[in-house]
Amino acid sequence: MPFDYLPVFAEKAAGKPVRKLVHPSQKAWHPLVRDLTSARIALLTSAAVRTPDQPRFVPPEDTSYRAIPAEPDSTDLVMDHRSPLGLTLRRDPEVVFPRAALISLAKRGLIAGYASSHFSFVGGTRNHYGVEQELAPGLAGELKKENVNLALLVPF
Amino acid sequence: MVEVRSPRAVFVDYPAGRTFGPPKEPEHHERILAAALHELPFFTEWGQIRNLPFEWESGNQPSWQTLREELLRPPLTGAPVEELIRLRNPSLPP
Repeated sequence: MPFDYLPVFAEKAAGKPVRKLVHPSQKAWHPLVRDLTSARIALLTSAAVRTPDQPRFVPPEDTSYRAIPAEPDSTDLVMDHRSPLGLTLRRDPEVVFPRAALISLAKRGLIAGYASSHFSFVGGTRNHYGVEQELAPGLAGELKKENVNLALLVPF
Repeated sequence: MVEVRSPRAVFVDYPAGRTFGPPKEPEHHERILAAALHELPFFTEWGQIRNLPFEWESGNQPSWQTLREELLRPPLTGAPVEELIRLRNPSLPP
């Protein structure tokens, strides 16, 4: 069933400055891995989750990121995102951050593997300059270090 | 998503915040993830959005009718924001 989100968001944002959609300054395209069985994958989430010992995020303009261990049961999580939708995520982070599902695909041989850490940051920011100039290059560097050839961003 | 033009995007018509399905349904999450990854070879240029063939079942929560109320709730503040999500295997050393 199609749900018309934009009027709801407009209602919620009434009285606040109009949100401007930003177009990327550079074309975002890179050739793919030959097939999924050669894909080593990292997850990116904008749900602002972190481990309890990491510095807290400061929404909404925070453009830092946190590395989150790939094994779901290796650490607890804390969520700093302020969206009321986060109540569901607290019951099961897999609904937007499918680390266990990714491990299962690797065990089944559908993908080559996954990063030792995935990455988390704050979504819904209006600090677009910070995202493009600080967050994105920082994440790109981390993905390179993780030696992944495919990144899956799940917006929250 | 259309305006932002991500490199390759798939859309799952599930309520916001439940991209991979209802909580505690690992097989469901895995099906969505596998379906998303299998779309990758079909993208020919940046900015395309491909729809995944999944429908939110009527018995799942939230219903489409109550999603609006959920989205309009005020942002979380205070202690609930910092609530610990317990995932850690208790058999692991501290």
